[in-house]
Amino acid sequence: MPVNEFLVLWLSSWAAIAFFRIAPAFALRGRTLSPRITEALGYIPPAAFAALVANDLASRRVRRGTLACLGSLDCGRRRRGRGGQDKIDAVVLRLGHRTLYRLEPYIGVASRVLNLVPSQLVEFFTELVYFFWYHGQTLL
Amino acid sequence: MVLKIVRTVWPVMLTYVAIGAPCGMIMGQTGMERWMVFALSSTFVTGSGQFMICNLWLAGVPAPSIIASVAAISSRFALYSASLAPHLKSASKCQTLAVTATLTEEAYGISLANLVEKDDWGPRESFVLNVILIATWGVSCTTGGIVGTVVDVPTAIATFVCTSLFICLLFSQRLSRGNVVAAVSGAVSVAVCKFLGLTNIAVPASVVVGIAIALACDAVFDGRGARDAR
Repeated sequence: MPVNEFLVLWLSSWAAIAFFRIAPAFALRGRTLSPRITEALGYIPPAAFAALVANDLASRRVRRGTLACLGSLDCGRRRRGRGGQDKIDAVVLRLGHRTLYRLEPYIGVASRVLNLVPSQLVEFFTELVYFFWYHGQTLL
Repeated sequence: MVLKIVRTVWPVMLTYVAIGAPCGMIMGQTGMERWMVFALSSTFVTGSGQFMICNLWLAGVPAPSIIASVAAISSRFALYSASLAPHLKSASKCQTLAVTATLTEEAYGISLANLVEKDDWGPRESFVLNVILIATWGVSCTTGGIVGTVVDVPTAIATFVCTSLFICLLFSQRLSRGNVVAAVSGAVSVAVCKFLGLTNIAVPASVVVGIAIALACDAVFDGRGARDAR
């Protein structure tokens, strides 16, 4: 990367980031905020971290990696658990896990043909539902 | 004081190493020299912005578009900064500048929790925390940039580490009706924004949506409570 292009990119982007970091704190500094504003500011952390998690989970690579890791951990726990039925459950869940991933592209195609629900949204919600179903089973 | 803060943030420092090293490698792959990697990572301190610059640069996107995209994705810092402001009442102008200019997501989460809960935590501690995390990030990225030219390190782990860190910070929030509504609305809004193709502003826009829905929900329940009381 040429030095002058890097300097333009670096300094301009840094100025924008610094503005976003510094300006609001100085604008609100020393002011007595209304209870409503204080309440709104208090909601920033949960909303922000949930949005960041959702943003990451909406990326297919992360979703697959996370689910695969959780699936492996979960099955490991079941195998060490309460005898034969748990092993069968683990195998069935594992197969279900794989089958769902195999069906995923077809679900995507079906939605595109119908042109009602976009494929990425179907994929996202399929995995979301599957995630809760899978861990609901484990917890119960 | 530094040791006390290091004892608090060492898990975050470890995740910064795990994320920073691959980030530095990617930056090295775009042709950035070592000083560039260090300068960029120790001033930006935002993985998403750095990854974005590298990806867009490699895709041949013009500089103004890259800057606009980085600015859009970094606009979330405005919300963090605004959220910290009421807790920096006792801080001087210099301290406020120091704390906010060095703000990162993880440092924000830890600082805010400590400013609210601990009496012995002030702007000075928040600034030292930020500096420790920035130093860790800068060194990790630069090391990744150097090592990346010699060793092939998997970069996929960075995304999982980052996600798990955000999950930890999310679950460290107080469990209340408003917080749950804000979190769920924010998460759903991200999915909607991504579906609509608004990827760059998905996070800041969703935070605003989450806050608005939580406030509206509070107003509805408070109104109902007042009516019931009457």
